Amino acid sequence: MRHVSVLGIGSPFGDDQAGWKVVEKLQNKQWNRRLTIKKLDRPHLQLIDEIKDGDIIFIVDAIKSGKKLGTITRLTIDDINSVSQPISTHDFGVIQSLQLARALNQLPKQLVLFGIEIGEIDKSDKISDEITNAISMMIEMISNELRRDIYARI
Amino acid sequence: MTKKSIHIPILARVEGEGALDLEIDNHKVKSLALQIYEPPRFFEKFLEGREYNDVVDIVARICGICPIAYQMSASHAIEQAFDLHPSTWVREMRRFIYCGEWIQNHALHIHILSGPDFLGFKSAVDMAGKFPDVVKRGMRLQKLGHDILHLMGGRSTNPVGNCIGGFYRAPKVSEIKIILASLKTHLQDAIDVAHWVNTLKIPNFPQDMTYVSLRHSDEYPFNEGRLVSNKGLDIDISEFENHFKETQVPHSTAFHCHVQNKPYIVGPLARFVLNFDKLPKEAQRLSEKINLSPESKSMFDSIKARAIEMYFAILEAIRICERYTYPAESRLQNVKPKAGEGFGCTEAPRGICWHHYHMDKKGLVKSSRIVPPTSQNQAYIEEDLRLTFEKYGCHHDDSQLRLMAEMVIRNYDPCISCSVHFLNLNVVRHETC
Repeated sequence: MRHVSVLGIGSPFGDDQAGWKVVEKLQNKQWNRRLTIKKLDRPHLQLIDEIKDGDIIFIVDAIKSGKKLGTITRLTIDDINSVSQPISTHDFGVIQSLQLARALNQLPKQLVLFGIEIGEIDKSDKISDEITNAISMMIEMISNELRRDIYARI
Repeated sequence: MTKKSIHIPILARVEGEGALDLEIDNHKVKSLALQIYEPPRFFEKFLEGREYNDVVDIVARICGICPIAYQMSASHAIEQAFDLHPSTWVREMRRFIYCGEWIQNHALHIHILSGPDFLGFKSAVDMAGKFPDVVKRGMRLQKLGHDILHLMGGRSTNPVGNCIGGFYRAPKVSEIKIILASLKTHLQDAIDVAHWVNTLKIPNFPQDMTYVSLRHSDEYPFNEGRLVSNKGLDIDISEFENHFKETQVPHSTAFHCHVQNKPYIVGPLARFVLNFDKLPKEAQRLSEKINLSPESKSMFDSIKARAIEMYFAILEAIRICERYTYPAESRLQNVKPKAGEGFGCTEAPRGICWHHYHMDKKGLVKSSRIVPPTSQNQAYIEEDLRLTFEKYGCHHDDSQLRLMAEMVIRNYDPCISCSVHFLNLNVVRHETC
C-alpha cells in the first residue's frame, strides 16, 4: 500500500488558515492506512522537499482565482501546469513550487491540489462563515477520497 | 496627446505584492509612485500588552522568510530594556542562526528571484528547464540555510527556539558535527554560485547612493554595531529616530525613510561596501575575482554582493561550529523583567531591521516601533527607478519598461510578504503629436 500525505498550507491570517483547519480536522479522524497529515506555514520552495519523495500527495490551500468565495477547486498536476498565473495566496507559491518541481523532475508519483477560494485576507485569526462552510465540505471531500478503494489498493 | 496604460496584475518574483504608477511625458519620467503594503505597522499595535517571550514568537510571523531578523532585533531590544547580558555562547549561536537565514534568503534570491532576469527567462521554472543543475544548486544551498534554522530554531518557518536571553535548547555536539560536515560540502557550491553570477549580463547604471548598515569593530555585522553610512553617519542605534525621518506618502501605506534628507539603501550591497574590510580574506579575494568592488555604485551589483555574503555566511558558520562546545546553559536563567526601553538593530538579509520597545515592570510591551528594511529602501527604489529610466530611456516599449522596472525593484529583494495586493504597473504616456 502506498503512502499518502496530506499537506495543509496556510498562514496565521484570517481565511488563509483554511488549509490548516482542514488538516487539523483530518488529524482527529481514524484512518486504516499509512497516512501523514501535516500543516505547513508558507513553505515556499521547501514544499518541494516535502513532496519529492512522496507516493501520493494531497495539498490543501487557500487560493484566489476569481471564483465565488468558498468555491472548492480540485487540480491535478496537469491542471497545475496549465496555470499561467499563480493563484495560491503564498507568493512563490504553491503553484510555482509545483511547476518548479516538475521542471526538476521532483514531483511525487501522484498529486492533487485542493483549493478553497478566499477573498481579502484579514490580519486577525478569524475565519469567515463562507470559508468555514467550505472547510467542512473540503474535509468530507478529502475523507471520501482517502477512503476510496483506488488509494487503498495502490 | 496620447495616453497609454499597461496593467500587470502581479510583479513576479518579489516576495509579496505592490503597485507602481509611471507617467511618461515626451519620453521623460514625469512622475513615479511605488506602493507597498507594510505588515509590520499592524504588528506594532498587536504587540502592545504582550509578554516578552510572546514578542519573540509573534514578530517571527511578520516575515515568512526572514523571521530570525525580527526575532534577533526584538530580543536585543528587550534584553537592553531589562538590562540583560546573554552569554558569549548565545552571542555566537545567534550569529550562527543568522548565517542560516542569510544563506537561505540569498540562495533563493540569486537562483529563483533575480537570476532568471539576467538570463532572459520569465521565471525560475523556465530557467530550471534549461539549467536544472543551477537551480538544484540554489535549492541545495537554500536547504542548508533551512537546516541551520531548524537546528537552532526548532523549525525554519516561525522558529520557536529563540527566547529572551538565548535559546530554549542547545544543539548536541553530534548535531553540530553533522551540520559542519554539510557546511563544508556546500562551500564549493557557494564559490561556484559567485563565479556563475559573474557570467551573467548585468546592467550597470552607477548612481550616487547613500548606503547605510551596521558596522562593528571586530566582525562583519549581524546583530551588533553602530549605524554608519558612506556619507559620514556614525551613530549608536538608539539615535536612529534623531537621524532617520519617516514621512507618510499619499500613494502608499508604507512610510518613506530619509537620512540627512536623502533616501538611502540598506541591504547586502550597503553592508559589503561599508564592511568590506571585515570580511575574511577568502571572501575578499572571491569578490575581487568576480569583479565586485567595495567602491560599487550600481545596485545591479547586489546579486554579486549576495553571492559573496552567502559564501561568507558559510565560512562564518563553519568557524562557529568548529569552535562549538556544549554550554552549561543555553539561555539566561531567572529573567527578571523591569520597566525600561530598549533598542535592537540587526542585519536582515535585506538590510537593517530596527526595533524600539518600551516595557513595563511586568515585562509587557507598552509600545513598540519596528522599521523593516524594505520600507527603508522604498524611497530610494523610486529614485532608482527614475534615474534608471532616464539612463535606459523611456522610448522602449511597455514590456521592456516593465521588465526593467521589475529588475530594478528585485535588486532590493523587497520583502513584502503576507500582503494581498497585486502589483499593478500602470504606465501613462503623454506624447505631443
